[in-house]
Amino acid sequence: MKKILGLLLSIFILGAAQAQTIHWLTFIDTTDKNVGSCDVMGRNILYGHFINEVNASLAPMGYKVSTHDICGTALSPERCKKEVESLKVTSPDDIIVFYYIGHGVRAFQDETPYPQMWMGQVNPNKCIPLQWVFNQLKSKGARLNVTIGMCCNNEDYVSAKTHPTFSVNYASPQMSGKKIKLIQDLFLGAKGNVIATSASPKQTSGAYNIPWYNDNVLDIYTATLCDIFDELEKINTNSITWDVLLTAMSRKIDYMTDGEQTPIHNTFLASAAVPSEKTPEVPREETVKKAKDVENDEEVDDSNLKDSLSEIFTALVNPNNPIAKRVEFAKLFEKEFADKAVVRNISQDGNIVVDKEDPETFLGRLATTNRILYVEVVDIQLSENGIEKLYVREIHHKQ
Amino acid sequence: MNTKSLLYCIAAALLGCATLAGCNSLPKSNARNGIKYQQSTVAHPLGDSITSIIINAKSVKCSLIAKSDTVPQNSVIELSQESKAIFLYLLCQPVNFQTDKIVYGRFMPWTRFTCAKGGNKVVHVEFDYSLKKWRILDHLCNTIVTGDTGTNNEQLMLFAQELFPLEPNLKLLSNKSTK
Repeated sequence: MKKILGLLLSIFILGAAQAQTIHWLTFIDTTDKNVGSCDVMGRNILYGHFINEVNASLAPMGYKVSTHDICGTALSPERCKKEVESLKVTSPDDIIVFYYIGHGVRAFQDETPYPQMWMGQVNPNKCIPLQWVFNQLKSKGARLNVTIGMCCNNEDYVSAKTHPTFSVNYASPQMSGKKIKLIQDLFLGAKGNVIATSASPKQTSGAYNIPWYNDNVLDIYTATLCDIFDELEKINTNSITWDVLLTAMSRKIDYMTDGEQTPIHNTFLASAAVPSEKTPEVPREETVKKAKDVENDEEVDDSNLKDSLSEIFTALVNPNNPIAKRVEFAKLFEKEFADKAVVRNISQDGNIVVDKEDPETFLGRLATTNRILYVEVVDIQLSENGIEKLYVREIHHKQ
Repeated sequence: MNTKSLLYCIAAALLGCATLAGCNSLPKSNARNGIKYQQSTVAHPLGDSITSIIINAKSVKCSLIAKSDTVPQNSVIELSQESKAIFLYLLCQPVNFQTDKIVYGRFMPWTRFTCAKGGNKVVHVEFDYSLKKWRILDHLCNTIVTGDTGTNNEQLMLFAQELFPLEPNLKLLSNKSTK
């Protein structure tokens, strides 16, 4: 079954081989006894209110998504080092966003004001400096690099390092044209590098009950970032820069915590022209690879599979593609589902199922609607017969 | 420290203990924009048995756990009666028992005060001045309770500096945070 899916995915991947990519590297400590449960909520809100909306806004520009979602027991300094060092930029228009939520610390009188990240372990010699991540990503040649560390910046007995030493919205979200344009402006209207962290040197970062997310507990930095993102369309401006966004966050958090936590950032950016929208091509049957080529391919891993499926669905909903072609592909893709397969639609916040459909209805809706902006594949269960269960999160155009 | 100051400290310590025995600590809430400090465990007054060991300790020894190379390896000081009174006064400040915020930093103790009443009746009180937190451990070093030092942190650091004047990082930390 995975071979057939791999076949169809490689059609699409080959067709879009030259497209630019936004790479998300999220490292979130969801198992720590003190902050783990807060970070589970933080991760959900970060993906639901920030990452998916950025992906949705950049998809019309032809941006593919590559997600490296490292959390739970997978989180470690070694994994972070490996992911950062091995990240490949395939186009000079690629964008890289690194976001860490977890414990942090700073060495006494460290030259950099940015902290080191514990990455879910307790050996101070294995902490990863945020500055190192920033420097590594800067050297990859992407159009824009954003490095954010949500953690404490308090000084303690760790050694200064320049590099690693050994690692409820209960419905589908809606985005207006204005918000999409603002996000495109933010991510494509400048080239260069950004580094930010959630507390000034010697300060700690805290978790709070957040009233605007149903009093759920998560770190206030991520909550504020996503809140500002949610309110973007209410801002009386036609453009937004990283400096404006991060300064607004810093002021808001400083005010709410009475000066106890003041995020800091630095931007090294130059203006760039926002490219025009592109229409991703709907895959066609006559470009199918030979099955024997697919048999030799490596196993398609879960993360790549979800990203690739999201890409296919997003192409399917693009109103710039002729409906006839979209419907034709929807019928072709329907064969990848097992009998009695179910597609479940998940809310923006939490994991509430808001709708359930059979594959024919789901794909037919995607192929014929002009209201859906982006489809994220949250989870997928496969069997010998095909896709048994599919969980998706949709972002709609605001009417 | 002169006699007058010492008497003041002892009186304050006794007053602090009396206050502690009777108070119900409530979580402090920050009403700005409705956000509230989230507490992993509500900081509450120490139980009678722990309070008894600390208040009636026959000896209180302070060890410098985190230290730089300028300080000798086995830095353990047995507190004099004077210093013990100051330690009790500082520990019993009500502000220490008001909050226990969740913060994104690991507790790395700088100093440990070992209070021994006799036999197995030992508790350890540790402070992380950088994270502005304290914790109490039993004789097996299991954590019993944690809390925030809050506005008391500066005083606690100054006290530690008096005990270990050769440790330079305590002085560095007591400077205001840079923004």
